[in-house]
Amino acid sequence: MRVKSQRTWKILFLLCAGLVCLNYLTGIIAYRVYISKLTQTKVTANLTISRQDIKGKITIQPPKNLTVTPVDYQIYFYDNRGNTIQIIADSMDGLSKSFSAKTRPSLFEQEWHVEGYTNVKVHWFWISAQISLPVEVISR
Amino acid sequence: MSFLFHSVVFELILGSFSIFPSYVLWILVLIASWCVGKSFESFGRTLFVITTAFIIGGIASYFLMSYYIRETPSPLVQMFTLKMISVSLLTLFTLSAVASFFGYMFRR
Repeated sequence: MRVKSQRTWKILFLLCAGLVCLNYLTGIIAYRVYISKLTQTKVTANLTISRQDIKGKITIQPPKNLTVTPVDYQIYFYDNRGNTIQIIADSMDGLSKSFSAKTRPSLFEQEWHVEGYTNVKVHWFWISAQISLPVEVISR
Repeated sequence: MSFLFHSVVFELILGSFSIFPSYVLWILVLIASWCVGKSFESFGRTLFVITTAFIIGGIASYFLMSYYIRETPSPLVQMFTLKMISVSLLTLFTLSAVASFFGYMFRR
C-alpha cells in the first residue's frame, strides 16, 4: 500500500511536469514564430520630394497568416543634430495610403535623414498586440 | 523541479505566448511541490531540494530569458518591471515551500 501510494504521487508529479513542459515548448515555439513573422513584415514608404510638396505612399505587406490592422503612421525628418524639421502623420485604414504634404523650406537648407514608424494591431492565432513597426523610407 | 520554476519565470515575462493561463502553471507547480514533500523522509531534505531547485531555476532563467529577449528588436516585446518579477518569485518560493510542507505533513 505504501509503495502504491508512492507511485501514484510520482505519476502525478510526472504528469504536472509533462503539462508544464508542453506549455513551455508551445510558448517558446509560438514566441519564435511570432517574432520571425513580425520581422518578415515589410513596411515601405516611397517619397518623392520636390520644391513645393512631398508626395508619397506607404504600404504594408504582412506575411501569411498574420493579420495586420494599421492604425496610423508618422514620418519624421531629422537634421544632423537630431532636431525635427518636419513631421508627416496621419491615420491609416487599409494596408496602404497615399499622402502629399507641403515641403518646409528649411528642408532644403540642411542635411536631413528620414525615419518612419507605424502603429499597427497584429493578430496571430491567440496572440494580439498593438506595436510600433519601423518604416523603410525610400526618398527620391 | 528547477525546470518548473524556470517555466514560471517564462510565464511571467512571455506568458501571452503559451497556451495555458498563468494561474494554471502556478497550480501545477504547487501540486508538484506537494508531491516532492510527500516523497522524502524528512522535511529538511525536502526544503533543501526545493531551495536548490529554486536557485538553479533562477540562474538558468536569468540566462535563458536574456537570450530569448535579446534576439528580438526591442520595441516588439513588452516586459514587466523588475520589482514585479522579484515579488512574484518570492511568492512562488514561499508557496512552494508551504505546499511541500503540507505534502510532508499529510504523508502516511
